Amino acid sequence: MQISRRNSLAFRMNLAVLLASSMALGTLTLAILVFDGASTRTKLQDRLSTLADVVGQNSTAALSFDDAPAAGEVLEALRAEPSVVSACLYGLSGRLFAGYRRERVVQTCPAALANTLRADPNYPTVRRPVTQRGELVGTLVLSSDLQDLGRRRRQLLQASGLLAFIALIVGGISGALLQRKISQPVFELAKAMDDVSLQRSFAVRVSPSGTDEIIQLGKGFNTMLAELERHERAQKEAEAKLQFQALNDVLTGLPNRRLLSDRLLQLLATARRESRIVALLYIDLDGFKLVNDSLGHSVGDLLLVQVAARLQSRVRLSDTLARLGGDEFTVVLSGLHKKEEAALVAQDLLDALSAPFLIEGHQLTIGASIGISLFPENATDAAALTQQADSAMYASKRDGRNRATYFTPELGMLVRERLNLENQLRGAIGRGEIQVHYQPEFDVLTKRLVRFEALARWIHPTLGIISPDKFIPIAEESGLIVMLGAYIMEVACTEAVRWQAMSPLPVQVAVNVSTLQFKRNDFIEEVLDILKRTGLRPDLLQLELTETIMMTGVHRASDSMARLRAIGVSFAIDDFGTGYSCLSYLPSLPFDALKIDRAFVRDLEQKPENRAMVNSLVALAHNIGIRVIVEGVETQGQLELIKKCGGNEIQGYLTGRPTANPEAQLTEFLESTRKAVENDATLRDAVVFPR
Amino acid sequence: MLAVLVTLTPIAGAAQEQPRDERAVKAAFVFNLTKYVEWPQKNEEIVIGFVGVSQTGEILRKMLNGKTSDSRVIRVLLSPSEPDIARCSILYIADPSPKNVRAALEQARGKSILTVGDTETFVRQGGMIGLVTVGEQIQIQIGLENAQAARLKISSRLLNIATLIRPTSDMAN
Repeated sequence: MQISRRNSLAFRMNLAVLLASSMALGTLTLAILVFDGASTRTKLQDRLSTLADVVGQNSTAALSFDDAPAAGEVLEALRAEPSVVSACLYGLSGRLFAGYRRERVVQTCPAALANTLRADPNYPTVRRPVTQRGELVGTLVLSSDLQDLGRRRRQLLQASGLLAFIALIVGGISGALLQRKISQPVFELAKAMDDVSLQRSFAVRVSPSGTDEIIQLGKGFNTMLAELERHERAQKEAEAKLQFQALNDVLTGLPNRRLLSDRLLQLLATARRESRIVALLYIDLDGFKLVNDSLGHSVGDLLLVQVAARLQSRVRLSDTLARLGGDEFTVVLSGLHKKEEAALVAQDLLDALSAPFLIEGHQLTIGASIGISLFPENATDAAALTQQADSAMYASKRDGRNRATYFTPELGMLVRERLNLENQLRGAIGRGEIQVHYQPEFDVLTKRLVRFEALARWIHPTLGIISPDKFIPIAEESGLIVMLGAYIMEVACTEAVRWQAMSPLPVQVAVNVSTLQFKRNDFIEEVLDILKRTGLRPDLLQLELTETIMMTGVHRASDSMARLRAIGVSFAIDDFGTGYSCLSYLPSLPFDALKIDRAFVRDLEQKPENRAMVNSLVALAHNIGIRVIVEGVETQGQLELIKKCGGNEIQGYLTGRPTANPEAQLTEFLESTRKAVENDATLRDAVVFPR
Repeated sequence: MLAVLVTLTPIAGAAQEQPRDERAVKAAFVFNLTKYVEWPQKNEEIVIGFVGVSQTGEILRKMLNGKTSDSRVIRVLLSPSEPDIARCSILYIADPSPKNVRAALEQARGKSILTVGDTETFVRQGGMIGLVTVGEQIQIQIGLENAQAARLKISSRLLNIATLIRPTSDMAN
């Protein structure tokens, strides 16, 4: 801001000082002039009177004895008195007797005394009677003029003028000094403010000086600047933080999806120019969901941080490691010479994750599935590259996890199919496309049909029957399994109620329960609700859980199971031996049965180690007081071996394929039993195989 | 006020207003002399004796007899006897003969009597105040030693306008 000279504080102050001194001087001069004028007039009057008395006394003889020349001489003595302009001596008759007048004075003595009465204000006049021994002998009129007064006034005015001049100089100097004291600091403040606006920086400070008020102002100014600076800094920090958060993952600090796509675009542009290969590695942790679900999100988050650190330690600075969200990471490798290098990096990353993680006392082992997509071999744009790497990652998962897979066009088809299925699965239940088939399970010793296992089938209008192996994982990943599981359980229970009416002996129904379904808070209520709705006796329901149930937390799982077991529901552990079995947890959970996976049964007759495994598992189960159900029994030889091992129940093609019409199978079983009983009364309780 | 004063003192004003009657002016002068001279003794009246032959005496009596000057009543005695002279405050001697003048002065000697004459030689002969006509003016001559010898005090103001005459020794005889 430009400060105009006329409007400046300094100018105003100088003006005020000068005005004040001038006014004081002016007033004083005026007062002196008035007072001095009055007193001068009075003094002049007094002096004239005195002079008139003296001169009059000296004139008495001249008057008495009519000696005008003598009177003239007496009056002439007034020449020594410069203030007297004229002296007129009149006799008793009133005629002019003698007169005196100063040189160069126009005024003359009137011939008659009476004419002296008209006083001229410019000529102060006294008239004094002249007496001798108390008798009047004449009258003396003395006139003065104001020359003296005027002269005195001129002198006074000259002195005043000189004083005024001095006062102006002194005022100017003191004003300048005052300005230095007062307005200079103010001016500096204004300048500092200008600096703030010009430099757009609040780092400017003033050094407070001058009067207390201005020091206060300066301090306030500094405080305000400091506050503004602090505010600005906080705002910048917040902006930087926002900026960082916008481009980085909050948890791990790694670049996020947005930053990744920016970098990917740049890298692809560079690679295109330099004809280089870029590899995009899509990494999804295996089993992370389980950790998150069972140990809580805080443990899951800590695990992700450690995973990020390990991955980061294995990539070059020129590579970009990003977290896309959840347990999904991406590494972009640029400047590759051969596509095989990508696999080497992927393997290195897998190795990095292979060692267990120790988090809050938990020792966690997880793997990762990696998909690799290559530029320019597979795709030339970032979106397609990412999508393809994702597909390849799913292929890794499908092929047994903890591996890396290069994208191939065939994988693309699979992924599209899978996506398609997921979308269609959402409406499948409503459209009645989900059917429940039942596979019988028989007691090895009594040969009795003890239960049917409910198995879901998706009858797709165009694709035909889709196997559970295909759609159950999709249902699990999409969460549709919860709804699907509940639906199958209700259908199965309804079906099982019908069986009881047909059979003299109770027939159980086994329903698979997904871990996702089981850990839901309302799971128990859901089961109770279904039992109540369908009217199935709880002891006729067997729920089959997989080994992953142990990861949800033993106590909670055990509690939930105990509550349902209390009303008669039984539990079996499904696909035992294929997952991450943790034998130590097994005794803590109130299972009734253990289902040995078909993988152990397939080569049972050929491989003695499989027999040893089944033997051990049966022994283990029996030792902790639970029955053993063997899946996938297809031959009589397998059955014999299982019987020898002590397996309690079997399930498989040998005794019955899954069927949409279990009632027919039950009827057939009951019929053959009835015939056998009829043939041999001793076999009343025996179970006869249908074939 | 001034007009009143003027009417109250017609005699004094006559000296200036009226045409020059020398005798009247001298009479007025004599009256005025009473104000400029101090006698050693305080008298309630001023007796003016007139010795001489001129008509001045008559005019004196006419103008001054019965008047008051400074609260003192003036009485004019024409041709007073020797005892009367002794009572006089002023003795006006109007005789052209120096011998008569001397005789009159001799009668006043030793007494506090202001002697007034109107001849040129009056003061030299031993008189105190001489009212001498010079042209149009009447000159006042004063023999100060003579007056002081008679213990009379003459106002300095009067002295200022008068001509002082020292008596010659031969004339004193």
